Amino acid sequence: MTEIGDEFATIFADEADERLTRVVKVLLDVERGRSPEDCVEVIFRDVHALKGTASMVGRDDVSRLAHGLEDVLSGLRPARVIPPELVGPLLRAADALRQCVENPDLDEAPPPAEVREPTRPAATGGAAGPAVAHESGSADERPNSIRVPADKLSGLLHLAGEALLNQTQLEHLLDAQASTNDGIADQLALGRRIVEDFKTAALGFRMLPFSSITASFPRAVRDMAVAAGKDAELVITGADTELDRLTLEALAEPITHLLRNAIAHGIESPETRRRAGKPAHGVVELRAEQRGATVSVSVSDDGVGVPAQALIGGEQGLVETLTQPGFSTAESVSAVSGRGVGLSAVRKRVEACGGTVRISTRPGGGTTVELLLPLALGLLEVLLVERSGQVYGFPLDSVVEVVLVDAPPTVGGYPTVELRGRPAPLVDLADALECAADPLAAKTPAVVVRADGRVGVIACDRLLGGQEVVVERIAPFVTGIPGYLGAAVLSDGGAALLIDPDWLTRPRVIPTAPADEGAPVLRRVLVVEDSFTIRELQRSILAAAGYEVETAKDGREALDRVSTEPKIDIVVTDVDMPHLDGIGLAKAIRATPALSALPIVIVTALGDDEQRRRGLEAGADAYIVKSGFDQRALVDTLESLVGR
Amino acid sequence: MDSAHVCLRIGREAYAVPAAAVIEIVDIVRVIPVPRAQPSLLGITPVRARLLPLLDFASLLGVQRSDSGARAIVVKAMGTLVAFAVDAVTDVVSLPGRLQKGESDLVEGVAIFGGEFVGVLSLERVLDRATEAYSDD
Repeated sequence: MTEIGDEFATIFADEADERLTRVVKVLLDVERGRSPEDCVEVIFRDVHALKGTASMVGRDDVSRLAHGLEDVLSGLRPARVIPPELVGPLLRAADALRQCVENPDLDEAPPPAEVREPTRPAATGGAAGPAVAHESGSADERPNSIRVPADKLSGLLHLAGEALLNQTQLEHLLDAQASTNDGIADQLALGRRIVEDFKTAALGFRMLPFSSITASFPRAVRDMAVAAGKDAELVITGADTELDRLTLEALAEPITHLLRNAIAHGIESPETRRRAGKPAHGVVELRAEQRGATVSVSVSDDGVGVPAQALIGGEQGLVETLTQPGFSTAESVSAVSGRGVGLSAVRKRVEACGGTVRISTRPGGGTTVELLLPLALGLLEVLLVERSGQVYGFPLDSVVEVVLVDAPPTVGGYPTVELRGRPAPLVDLADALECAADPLAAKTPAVVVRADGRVGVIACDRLLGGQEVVVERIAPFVTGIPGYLGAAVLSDGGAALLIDPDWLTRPRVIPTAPADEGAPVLRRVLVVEDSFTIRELQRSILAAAGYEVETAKDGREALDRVSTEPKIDIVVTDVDMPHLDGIGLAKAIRATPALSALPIVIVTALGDDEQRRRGLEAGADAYIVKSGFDQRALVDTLESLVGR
Repeated sequence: MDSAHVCLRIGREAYAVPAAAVIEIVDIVRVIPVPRAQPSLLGITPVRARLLPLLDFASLLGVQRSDSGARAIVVKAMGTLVAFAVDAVTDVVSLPGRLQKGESDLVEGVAIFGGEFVGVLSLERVLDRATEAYSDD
């Protein structure tokens, strides 16, 4: 084998990778019955070209192996069909080729026997030598990509930012001259176009499509399914979604774990599926999308879901349970599942990037694991506002509308505005951020921000308009503070702090209103209280804090309600009630296996230690003292139990 | 053995950091405050087209800073750049390698130079101190 320079080795490896990936993709399509008409030709072309390139760079080992595979394919060319039983061996042959490319120092191994002797007799007619159209486009098809260290690209991006700033300052300084001198005006306009294109191009280097890490996944899923005796296929949605390169790199491993889990614990065997009335063929979906300042990558399967017991603690409880190290939903550990340790590692990795894991499931229907990551870098469309001389930005995705508020009335101590026929509290941005500021004017603009099913109306001094900005995370100093997504440089050289709408509309921070009827319900609380007035008071406090509230007049009604769908997430109960009192209710709930983890808050009379003791003994998780109803205390207690 | 250090004035005290760690020395043009930040974060400051966190040596060291300071040193940390506010950057000098023990654990040691005590800072420990409040997020 002749020596080749590093440069050529890399180029060759890249080309081989591209061609072999394509070959594998076509073979997977053939297996699924979706083969293109010219599938044999496509594969033949790639193998043939690979053979040629390998010889050219002195990799005779690869060339010989490719030649063997080429012979098999030649035999298939006249019939233009790849028989299904040949797909497995052909996939293994492609693997062998890849191994060979990647390991130049291995002793030359002969091509796998399966490749040399195809299981199907080659068609005799025309096998002698159909005119082989020499697709020697290998020189033209050579991949033209190179590897560059990531921080060199960051440097380029910042340089582009400086150029843009410089351009803006030039425009200001030459404003007067430009208005009377066409030459200057034209050059400035040209300069701006060039500099903006430069920034877009520099940003493009840091962003890659999701597909750049997903190439090997369809094959991996197929192989894992086959190994586990299951029939499953991977569907990828959002392959074109552009994500920051660093985020992509952080995701590759977690996604692999999730796919492994979906096959091992999600998709059932074909017989089990048929018995359940499902198609024998299972589907795993990998989806990526950018939502404002967050990237969502999810793996869904239409398999068995998670057993109902694991759902008692609500969605957050499910995440906690499934991500405990060592947890496994299978009785025995299979070679594929790796005992559920995968999910724990996924969560750690995602949280290390500042993200969160969400899991939703339907027993018998399937499971979705969603990874939500903050954008490491990227462009974000924001709405800029000014409050007390400082500029802040909200992701435009989260802005519902902008309103002008004029001397709003107060309700319950909060200035309130009417939003589509319903009252919503008006919040001063400075209050939400806890910074000192001059009072707002009587007439102020307000931004209606929506996140996670809740809406907040945020007042500021001035609206500055929408802008596309480059997000700089500035971790941990800025992003480590809850509420900030990062900061962005503005064209005047200043900066805007970017606010996280999720944090802003959290119930603890400011009172908010539920977004609309159709919004997904977060937490459902059952208020058990025989006094109508107190019941309604508690209802309004909790509804304002973002809960979906149901009520019951006594313990018996409550017990009936918690045993039915939709699921109650937390119970707030008085003690003294007819039919079944709070203590009895708590005991009954705890005695029911399906409800044993349901959080219960008892509301006791002031000074009644006996009630409190009995309540806690009966299994309540917390208590609230009734008199002088402190709404903060009620909401805080619920928050701590529901674990936000 | 002697090595080059950048001398800083923070309040009435003299400190130094290894010159090799300092990427640049800048004037603080603008500080954008960050509500609810740690006391050691003065805000974010634009340095050319980038936004850098501006940390306060004085707050981390527990010394008084005079209000007049408008200079900052930029160091490389955690894969990115971080700026530290100082009252003045006085000189780049060669400090003797052997240091006396200093009181603060943020200081590698104390050198005697130009007739005064110069605290040689450990940037690594300073940064640890600055980021420790964020470690549970």
